[in-house]
Amino acid sequence: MSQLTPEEEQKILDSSPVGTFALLLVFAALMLAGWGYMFFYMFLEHGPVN
Amino acid sequence: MNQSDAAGLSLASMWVGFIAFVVAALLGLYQVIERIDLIPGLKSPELYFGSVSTHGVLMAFVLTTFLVMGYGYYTATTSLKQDLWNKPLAWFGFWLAVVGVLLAAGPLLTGNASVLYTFYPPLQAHPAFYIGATLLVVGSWVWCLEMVMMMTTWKKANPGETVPLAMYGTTANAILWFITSLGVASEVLFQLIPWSLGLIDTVDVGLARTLFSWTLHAIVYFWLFPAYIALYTLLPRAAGGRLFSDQMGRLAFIMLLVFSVPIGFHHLYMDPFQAGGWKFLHMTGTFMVAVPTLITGFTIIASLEIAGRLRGGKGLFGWIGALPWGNPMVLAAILAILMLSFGGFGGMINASYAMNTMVHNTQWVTGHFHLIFGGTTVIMYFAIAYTLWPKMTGKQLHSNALALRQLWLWFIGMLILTLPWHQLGLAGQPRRISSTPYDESFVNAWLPAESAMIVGGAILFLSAVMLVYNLYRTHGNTQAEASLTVEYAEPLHAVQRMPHLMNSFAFWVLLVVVYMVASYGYPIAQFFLMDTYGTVPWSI
Repeated sequence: MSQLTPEEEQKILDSSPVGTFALLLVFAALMLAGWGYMFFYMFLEHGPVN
Repeated sequence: MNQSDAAGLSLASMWVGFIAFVVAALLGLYQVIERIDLIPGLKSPELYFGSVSTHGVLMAFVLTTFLVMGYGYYTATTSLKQDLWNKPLAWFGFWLAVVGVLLAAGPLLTGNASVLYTFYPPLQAHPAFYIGATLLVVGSWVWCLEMVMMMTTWKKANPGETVPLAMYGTTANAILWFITSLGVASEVLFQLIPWSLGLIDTVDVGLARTLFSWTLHAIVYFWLFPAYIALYTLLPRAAGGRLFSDQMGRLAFIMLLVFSVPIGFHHLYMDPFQAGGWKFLHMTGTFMVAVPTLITGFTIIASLEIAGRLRGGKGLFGWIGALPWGNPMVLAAILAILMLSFGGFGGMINASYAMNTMVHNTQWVTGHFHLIFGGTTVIMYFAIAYTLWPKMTGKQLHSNALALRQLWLWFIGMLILTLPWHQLGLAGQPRRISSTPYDESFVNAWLPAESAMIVGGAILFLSAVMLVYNLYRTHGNTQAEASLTVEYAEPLHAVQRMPHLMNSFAFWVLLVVVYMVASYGYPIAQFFLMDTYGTVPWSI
């Protein structure tokens, strides 16, 4: 466990969760890419219903 | 107040759940072996379908209901710091549910309820199965009443105060469960029990499936709610930080309550008796219910980020490595979020009206719900048990190291089991089959994925045994737990005054009723308005 001064601790508590935003952006990009792969490659490749 | 007022009841309830769980895990191992014909002597479709039915009932109905009740009772007494509203009644509900399970076990174990743990006619089970399931549900309704009454009495005793988040979520789940279980309760009471008793000759299958869909999706959130409650109220403190936002948690609970019930038609996309417009409406609602999950994902990860940075983590992602990975709650939560991401992706495909045709009734679906339920939900049940067992027993956890190994094994086993199932589903393998005696080239192509699922099943069973062993040995531990107080997470910004709508449920329940009437009113009424070719509506 890191030893923080009260000022450092307060600074962390007041800061925006930038790491979370970055992580969720990565998740969102992966989800979007996965959905695109499933729709355009896997699904549409089946072709029209005969 | 006596901290342990509900400890005995909670322990009893959770033990019933976990005993059912380990039996179900053993059956799961048998099923993956039988399915691939690994041991010819085990080949038996009758035994397989009996096993699948029992596995599903034990996992999806017994483990969940008893875990939810046990965790709920303990959460209510510890977060509100008051005794159970009516302790004898709570015990009565518990025993009623136990009797229900025992009653249903008879036909399940003798092959007379091999209906794949669904309530879909024309599959028919022995009446004892339906009556037992009814008693289980009625027992859980007692829990619902207890939760609502405990919150109500607390609010009366503490006017103007904010209901603790853990209790707010627990009550939301109790209300959700009561509303959603009315669908299957109506089906069982008015259709399946009279039909199975021979009092009527036939049932309206379309009506039965529609009523079951009322329950079928929101029940998933009934199972998932304890996981979310633990993520919001136990995890941040276990990680050494604060909850990013109390209000976000309340909003997620409210949205789950409102949006999760009237969306069941995505289970009926291929059924002909509901029109496409209704299915589209339900599909839209299905995507809406992803919003509270996204809110939860953000809030929980942000809470973990706070904890990681307080522990010295630097940089954009350095806080992840600084988290206390040796804490079972933290480890389970991270693994749960990962599995929720995989499972959520699969769910997007299932819920898409068009793409659903590609995976409908394939092994993809089995992979999806095992990831969401068996993965995300159940691993959080483990974390809840590891956190609360020492509080409830007064003894330290037998082995933290064993708990960590068990959680990793569960995660690895679940991925090995379910990712190949997704691949099999895309390759066209149907679900709900006891073997794969199809075209030889098909079967050969499926073999690697089928083999992997045996490895996954074996790892999961080992993990299940480790869990039960650890919990059992905790009772005999000579080391006393230092504090029996459950430490709930503090929000980053203290709640000064909560808006009334986020501290009560009356308005939201009214909204659910309106939404339900809009989305299920005509689809159910139509069965009474149109010619059903000789079948009597409700079959009574």
